[in-house]
Amino acid sequence: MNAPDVALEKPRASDRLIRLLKVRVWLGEIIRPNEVQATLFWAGVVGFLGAWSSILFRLASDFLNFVFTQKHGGYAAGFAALGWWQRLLIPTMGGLLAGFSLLLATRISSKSSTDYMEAVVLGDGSVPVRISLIKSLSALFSIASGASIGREGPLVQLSAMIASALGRIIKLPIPRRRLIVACGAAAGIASAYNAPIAGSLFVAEIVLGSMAMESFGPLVFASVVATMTVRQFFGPDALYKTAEFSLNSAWEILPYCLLGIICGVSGPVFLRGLKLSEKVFELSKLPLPLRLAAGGLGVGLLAMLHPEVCGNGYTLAQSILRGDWVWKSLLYILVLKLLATASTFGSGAVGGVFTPTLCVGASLGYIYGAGVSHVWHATALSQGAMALVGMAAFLAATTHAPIMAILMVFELTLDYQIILPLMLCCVIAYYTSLGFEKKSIYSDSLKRKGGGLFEQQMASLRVASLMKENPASVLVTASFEQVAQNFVTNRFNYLYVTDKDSHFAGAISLHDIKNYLNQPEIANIVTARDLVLDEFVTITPEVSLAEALKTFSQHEGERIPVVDNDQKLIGSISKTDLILSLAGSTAKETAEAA
Amino acid sequence: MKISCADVLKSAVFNLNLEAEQYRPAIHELVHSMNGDNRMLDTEGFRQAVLLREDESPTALSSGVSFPHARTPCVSDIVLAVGRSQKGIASDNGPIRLLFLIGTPKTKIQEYLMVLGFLARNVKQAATYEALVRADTPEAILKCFGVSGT
Repeated sequence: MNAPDVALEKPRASDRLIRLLKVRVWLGEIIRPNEVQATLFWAGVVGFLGAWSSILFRLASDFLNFVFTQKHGGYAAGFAALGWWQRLLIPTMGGLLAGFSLLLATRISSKSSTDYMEAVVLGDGSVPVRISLIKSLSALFSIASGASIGREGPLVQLSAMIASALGRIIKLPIPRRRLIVACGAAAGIASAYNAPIAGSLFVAEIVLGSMAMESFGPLVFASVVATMTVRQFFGPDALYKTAEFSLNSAWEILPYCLLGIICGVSGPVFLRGLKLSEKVFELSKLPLPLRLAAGGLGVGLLAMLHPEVCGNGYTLAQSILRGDWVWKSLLYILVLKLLATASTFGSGAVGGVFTPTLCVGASLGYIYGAGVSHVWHATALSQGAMALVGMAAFLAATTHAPIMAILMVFELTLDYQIILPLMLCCVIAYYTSLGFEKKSIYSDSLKRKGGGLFEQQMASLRVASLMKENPASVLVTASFEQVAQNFVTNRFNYLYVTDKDSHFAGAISLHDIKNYLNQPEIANIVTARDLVLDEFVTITPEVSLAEALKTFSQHEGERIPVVDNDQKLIGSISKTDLILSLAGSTAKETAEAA
Repeated sequence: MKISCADVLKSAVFNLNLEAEQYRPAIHELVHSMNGDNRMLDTEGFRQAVLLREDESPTALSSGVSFPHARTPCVSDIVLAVGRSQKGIASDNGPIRLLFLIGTPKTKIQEYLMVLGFLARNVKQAATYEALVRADTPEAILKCFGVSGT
């Protein structure tokens, strides 16, 4: 018998593989990557794509507006240069085209909702692509033809739709698909308003109803990437330019308190006005194209009197913040603008009411500021500053999201001096509005769409709904090299082991083997069976998510294997997905309670 | 309690004159020699577990060494039996001169890998292998692994 020849004992676990696995273990211990961190990466991708959808939509609506009006330089200015019949005809025709587009969307599917909020809070994170695109086309016709509605609505919708499609392509489980759609919405808002903080807070505060870092981190990431992308295209300037503001005396804060109350009362009135308008149009029983055309006709009639009512109100709000108005004229425009917005929104046009809300709030603040100056001659209060604070307070009163409103207006103007009255006024407006209206502009929409769905979904929430099929696994006879290879190519800490008939045999812990990876001698001797923890916790697909959470509380791993009644390995469920799913349920409960 | 490889070796059972000429009987013979060890809870169960493991993936190496083993509840702690055949035991991978039979409780995966790695690393060295084949007492075997006394 010869002495053992080392060269003849060819180790099956190659040195390169062992080195790779050691690096993987080292990285794993240093940064401990998990599924939330992977979601962060996809949130960045969603932010970038959402920003480009925003850029393209804005360019498309500007181009279509030029086609309609043959004028450049803003919708209101374009309409001001047109004759009376054109001011009447263009919004009507735009409404008709928007209505036909919407009709086409309802013909394709009358049941599936394209609402991203519904997809995030009540649904499975699916925003249908075809119908969303047709609805965006409808919004494009409305917006470009001067309807008094914001383009931020379709911008957010498109961004959320792209995120949803991406989530489906990369096969994200439902809770994280919902989160990625929320990231798309945040990116849409951030890119529409050049406002990354407000973008993430809007979705966290209104849509998710949670500031948990599992969801807030990806929202912030998507918003920042979206804003950076849009800034490369449109520049870094604040969306609204304001006059300089300074608080000369502590007493000057008092008028702002009163402005908060005024906005807190008028916010719910504004919402009820919009709802009333919706009911009036519904009662008319007009077919969809004619209904939207009637809404456009309403705007056209008002535009004949004053073209400033056209568009989302951005130009008007800018001129108010600059202090260009006499209060009586502005009061007249405010009434017309409210009617135009009610006419557009009530007819069912696709779009957002965010920018019109800012415009109405700015008008209220400005007119109130004029009144204060009239009564209190000694004060140096600026009407522009009042308009700015009114803008935020009115937003807080309608959205029931005061933090978002404060930061949104701060980001829109990048004026920090205004922050004290801004914060105070928003909080007062929010609490005042709660006394009149428990529902915000958004929770109302969710309530209407979600009735009964919540209980139905809760009843169906089982492990099966979150299970990822075909988890990585090895046979009990697998060599040490195969085990190591699986740990290199997958990021988890437990590798599942099955017998040849797929029966679950246990799991191998990376922790158990990591110190022996540099010993090729044992690679020839050790198999998966020698390493397997055979009393490993499992779960079945029909178990409720609440039960699954209890199981996770007794298990230190990120995933639990899912087995069928024959103990065959059929999938795995991740703790992150479970927590996100249960967090989503909390948001649903909030929506239901609203 | 943390154990060391030296502890496992010191508490090992030695059979330096295995009579069996075939692989499976040799394992049986070595298992039998562990009968008196109070950490052995079920000798027959342990033997079956080792043979089952061998059937699944043989541990006999072409270098003349074999590491039959089982993780099984039939032992209360890590047990080791060292067997040596003067003539060589026939196996699918050529004649085997040294057998290291290891039994490990289900829970002690890291300790099992530690002992197995220690033995395999040492036996891989030609000088150690030669010394083990020539050793005529358990103390001499221990000395080959750098462990003194029993």
